[in-house]
Amino acid sequence: MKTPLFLDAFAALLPSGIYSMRGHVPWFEGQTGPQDVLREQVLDKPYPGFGKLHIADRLSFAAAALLFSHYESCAGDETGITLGIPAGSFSTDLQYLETVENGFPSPAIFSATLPSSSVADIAIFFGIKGPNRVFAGTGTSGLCAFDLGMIMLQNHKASTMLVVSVRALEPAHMRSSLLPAYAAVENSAYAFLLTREKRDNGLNFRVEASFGKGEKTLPEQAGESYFDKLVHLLMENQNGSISFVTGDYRGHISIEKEL
Amino acid sequence: MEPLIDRLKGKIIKALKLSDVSPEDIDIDAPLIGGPLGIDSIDTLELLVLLEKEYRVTVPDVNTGRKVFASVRSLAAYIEKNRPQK
Repeated sequence: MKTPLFLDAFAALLPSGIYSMRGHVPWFEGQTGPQDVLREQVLDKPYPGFGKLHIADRLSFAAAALLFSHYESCAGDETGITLGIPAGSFSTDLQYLETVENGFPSPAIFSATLPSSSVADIAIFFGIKGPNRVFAGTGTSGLCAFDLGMIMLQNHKASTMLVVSVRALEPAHMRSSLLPAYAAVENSAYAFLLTREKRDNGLNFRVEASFGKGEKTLPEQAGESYFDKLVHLLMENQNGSISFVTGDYRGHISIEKEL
Repeated sequence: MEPLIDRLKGKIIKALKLSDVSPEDIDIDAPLIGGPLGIDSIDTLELLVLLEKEYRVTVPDVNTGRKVFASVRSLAAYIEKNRPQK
């Protein structure tokens, strides 16, 4: 029998603004979307390293920081991280190539060409020492991250899992002919905290999900927009279920408030 | 050497994209690596590129590097001593 799991906290950076457990805040005037997020919008203490984070690292970190700003610390080896990043480090790869062509390859940019650097930045800053995995380069990377986050909890690999799904490209690279169609979408970042136990300050939504391959029985949805719907349900404090089909990957995530 | 130190502080902030830091915040005698600026080993490599690109100065080995990157003041002194004369 499966252990009940809880979706206990969330945060998102979307084209319209910042979503967190405290509500929705639109972007400031002059900010065009998640790519313009400022440190002070997600983190209430100085972090000199924030400015040097490359776009995928920055949005992943910002979503995690926003989540933890309204939640207790999850430091320690009982918390793990899964990250889904469909475009991988596409923008950073192109930026590194530019420095190579300029004759001075940048070591800092090179280190950020690993998609897993996003996990490292989050883990180091928040003291998260549990297992971590990264899914990159497919349209279902975010789904896979959510799926594995739940599996790791069910299998007692961790007691809390931070699941991050990020779509992050520099605006100049959005129309690159090298970019796969599934990755050429607006920037966004989602962070969800899955737990095995209810917490006093958590949302206390019981979460169930199934993922897998099979016949198409549900209407096709664009990309991973179902995470938008999940965030809206959480913001409205509503029970609900989200079914999805993307490529040949399909399933559902349902949440139900535990009173 | 003061003008060089001032310029160097600005270049470090720009090269390492340090946020929440202004030139006035940088203590020129504080440890550069692992100090309050949060500069790590990757940043040190980036500073090596900065030295070569901007001042045509190289650091030959790790032991020299430890002394050079001890502080902003020691970094400026090394540049002053080793950069090619115009």
